[in-house]
Amino acid sequence: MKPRLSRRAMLQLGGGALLGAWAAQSRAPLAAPPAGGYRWRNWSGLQSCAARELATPGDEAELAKLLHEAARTGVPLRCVGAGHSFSPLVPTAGKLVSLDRMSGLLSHDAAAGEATLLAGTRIGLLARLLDEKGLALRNQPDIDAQSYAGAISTATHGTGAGLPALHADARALRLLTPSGLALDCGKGRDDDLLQAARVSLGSLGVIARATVAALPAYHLQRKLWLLPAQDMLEAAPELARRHRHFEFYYLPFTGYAAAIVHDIRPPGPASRPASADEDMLRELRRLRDWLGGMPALRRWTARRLIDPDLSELAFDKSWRLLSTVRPTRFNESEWHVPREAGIACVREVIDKLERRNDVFFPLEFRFVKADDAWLSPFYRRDSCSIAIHAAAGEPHDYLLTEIAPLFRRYEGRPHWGKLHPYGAADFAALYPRWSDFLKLRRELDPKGALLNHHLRRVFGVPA
Amino acid sequence: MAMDWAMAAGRWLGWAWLGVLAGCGGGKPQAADLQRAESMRPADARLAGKYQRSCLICHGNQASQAPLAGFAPAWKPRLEKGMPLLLAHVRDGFNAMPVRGYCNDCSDEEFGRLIAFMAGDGGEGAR
Repeated sequence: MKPRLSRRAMLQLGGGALLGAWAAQSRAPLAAPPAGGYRWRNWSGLQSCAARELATPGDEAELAKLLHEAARTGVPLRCVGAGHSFSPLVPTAGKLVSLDRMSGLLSHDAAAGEATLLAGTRIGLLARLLDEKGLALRNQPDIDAQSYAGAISTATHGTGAGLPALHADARALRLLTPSGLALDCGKGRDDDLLQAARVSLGSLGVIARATVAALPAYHLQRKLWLLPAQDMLEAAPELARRHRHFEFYYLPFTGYAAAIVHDIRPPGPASRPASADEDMLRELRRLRDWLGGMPALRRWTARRLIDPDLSELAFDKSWRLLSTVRPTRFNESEWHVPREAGIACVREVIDKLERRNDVFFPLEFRFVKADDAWLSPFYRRDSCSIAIHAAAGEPHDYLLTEIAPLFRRYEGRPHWGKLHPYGAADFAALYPRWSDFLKLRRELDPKGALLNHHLRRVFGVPA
Repeated sequence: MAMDWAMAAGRWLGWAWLGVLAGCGGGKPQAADLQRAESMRPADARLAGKYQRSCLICHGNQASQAPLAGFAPAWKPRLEKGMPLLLAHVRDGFNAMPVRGYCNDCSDEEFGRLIAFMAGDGGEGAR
């Protein structure tokens, strides 16, 4: 049996002093907003802005009025959801709009396998509301605080080689535009608009409602186990093929990776071990803090501490297992590469990451099925997703300066809501329907009422 | 990112129980506490709607490390710091809680009532 550090030993090594630093990540109070204005900050604390106002329309008429005003006055408007995007999609000196009051299920049709919801509904609430009707989403992202509109607009996804991202299950959308249009698309109406609107970064209009595919409610069993990293890289494609959901986490400077699979099982009593995610993250960070300057000793210590034979099982309703909550704030960059190149790419990324002794956050590797949305990073390309993280408040520039160039060589498409250095020319080369999308954007929002500085760079629109 | 790897890895490292909920104090919620946190709602239907779409995501889930709704021992030390500070935390964000706690249409008065409800002091009742 591997030796393990006891709590006492950890404290003797100085952990007690570090606990204080982790006990509360208080944030500086937000600066006073402009008169009558609103100061916004994203979840990680990286992005912020002083907006003129935070508007919370209660229905489509109020939302349409806000859009009309934006077009008329030239004061731009950006929608904000849960603030879980790390890229600056939200910041504006204009007006922020939250769809928090436009939340809830409007109808459901179990026979057709679909439900219609207001687009401000958060994923976690949507899952609960569907469950009350005996339904469930086909897949979920691993964080469920996002509004539905925000999640699909940035191509938020879960994992599963045979499962597409959330937006692919949007069968119909209603889009309100700055020019005063209420456009319904999907289910035989304007399929091109649906494929453009599914992933549209809030740039075509504001999604007010959606009809989404839903399955009969189902239970999942989760299994989690460790493998030496090299074994995991070899086994990953087969594990992805055999299981409905498969992903792995590479634990930096340990030589190990953790596999997680979920598979559908008949209903039964729930069984969920208490999450120890934060404790593990704390210990990986502590190992970095103590031994980061001695990577060989850091690896040796980690190998001595890890018992690779243990595994865990959990069983519950799908929505309770597929999504969770993140107590520790971080910044993130995520790239989607062609599936056949995923393992080769992640090998390079791991090698590059471990040249930096300050890295301790696990790397996440997932599988996503192709879809047809014009700006989907999975557009007609089965993909592997590679996510890299840095703790909030720690340096993260290297995610873009050192790691992003690797993804470029693999034709990686960045997650829209996560950090990336790309501009319009990069995207034009990556997205076959890029120019079609730009043309549609100009038609629906000719004055750029829905753009901010970041989106102007993304779309190549001069200020 | 999902970090469920830690559910097992924490145990593999033998450190899983180290520093759990540092700063929360008041002991560990039991199964009944977790079930109650999942099911309790404010009696006021309007407030219940806001609670369900905003607060429940974290305060009904122990994994979030946010103080669990209805679990008084987690709230007692926080309440002792005074409602003005708790309201400031909601407005500015605190730990993993974002600015305005996922409730962009909540007033300060409603935030206060939601805190009172979650702290289980009977201020809003439960159903």
